[in-house]
Amino acid sequence: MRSTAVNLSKKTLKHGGKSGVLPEVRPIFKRNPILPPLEQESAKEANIEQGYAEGVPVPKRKGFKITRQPKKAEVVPVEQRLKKILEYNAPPQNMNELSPKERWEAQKKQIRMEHLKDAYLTESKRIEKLELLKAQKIEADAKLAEEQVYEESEATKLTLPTIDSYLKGSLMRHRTPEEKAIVEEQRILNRKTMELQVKEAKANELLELYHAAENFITTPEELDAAITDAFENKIGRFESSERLAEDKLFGYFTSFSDSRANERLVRDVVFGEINGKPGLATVTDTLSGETEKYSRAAESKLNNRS
Amino acid sequence: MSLVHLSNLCAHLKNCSHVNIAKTSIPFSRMHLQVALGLYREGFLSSVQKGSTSGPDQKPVDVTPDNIATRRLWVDLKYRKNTPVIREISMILRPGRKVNMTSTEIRALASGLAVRFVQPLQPAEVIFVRTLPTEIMEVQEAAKKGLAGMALCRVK
Repeated sequence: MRSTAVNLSKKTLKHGGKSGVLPEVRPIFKRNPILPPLEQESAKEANIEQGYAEGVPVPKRKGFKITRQPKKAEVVPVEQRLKKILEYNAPPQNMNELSPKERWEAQKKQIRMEHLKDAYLTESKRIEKLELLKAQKIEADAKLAEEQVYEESEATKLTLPTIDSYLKGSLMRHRTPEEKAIVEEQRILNRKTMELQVKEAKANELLELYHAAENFITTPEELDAAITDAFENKIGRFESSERLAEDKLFGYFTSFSDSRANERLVRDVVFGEINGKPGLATVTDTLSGETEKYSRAAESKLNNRS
Repeated sequence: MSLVHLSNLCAHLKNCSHVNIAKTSIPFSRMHLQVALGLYREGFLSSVQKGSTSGPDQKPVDVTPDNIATRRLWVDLKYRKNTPVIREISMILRPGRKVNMTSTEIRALASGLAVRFVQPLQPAEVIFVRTLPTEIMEVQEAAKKGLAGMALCRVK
């Protein structure tokens, strides 16, 4: 376990209660790997995306570029590294001309270089071995996953076929194009029928208003006459109303007076009239010339017969 | 898949078995069908039938957009010695506690171990897991296939 501020704090067990645990070994080749990544690993990393999505404005930072793909660390082989280091720390040419102290320093440097070279080569061998093991493991895992493809037993395949088949595909059968067209037509028809009904009702009301306009007061004379009629005491009308009210109260009332009104209503409905006046059907037929055509045809038939 | 619908199904089946009802209907959807078939396979139900709100179908009926609103699944509950075979049916996950499991955890659960707060499987108990957005299966089957998933409910 790596020592952190959390597990080194007062109340936690240090190193899981174990003693003599050394800190994690620091990697020698930290920044740049010495071997290229494995094929499987690079394939996995190819799908990794970072930063900002397409179309999102990217913030600007000096000396820093935000890329969609993560930046891959450059691979520097051990030989290249060593060559660079050894060239930089090459022994001086004029070894014999140096003072004994300086010579000793140069010799010490060479010894250090030798040790470094040894360490680098040993570490590279270790890493190569690890990489090889990793590759083998990935291969073995892939092979195992390939072998372990789950297959249903013969018994399962031969039983319950219909029940499982329910779950394959869509649960509901969707409408065919023909059925869709029929439904669409039906909807249009319904809407148009509703609209026609509303229009007919409006036209009927308008016609009713037109017929009622006959009794509207339009001149001063008519208004005078109406006022006189309303405020004049007519004994005859009063008495008849009174009798009617009494009859209704004591049950002598016959439906005779009502039957007239009922008759009129029935006639209106049967003939399509409004208060005995021509209804909407009659008016539209007359306006469109349908009535005239019909009567002419009838007349010509009569004439032909005679 | 709706958590609420699955909770309603659990509560409905529990209520029905408490009052010894022989046949009941549940909504017709993929999730309900999967759970009902899972229960049937594990022997908690004696039959699963397609039908309408008025009863199971006598003849096979096509499910169309015109009759989808009245489609139901009819399930027959089992009883033994006057006690319901479904002793307990309850949800594992809740709206505030989704239980996602890796394939290793599923395997551990199937082999009788407790996984986090999910109690180990008892004898004659099944757990249903959702492995894909539209796939519900029994935990043993998921473990056999090596799938990861979300633990949904347990029945015993």
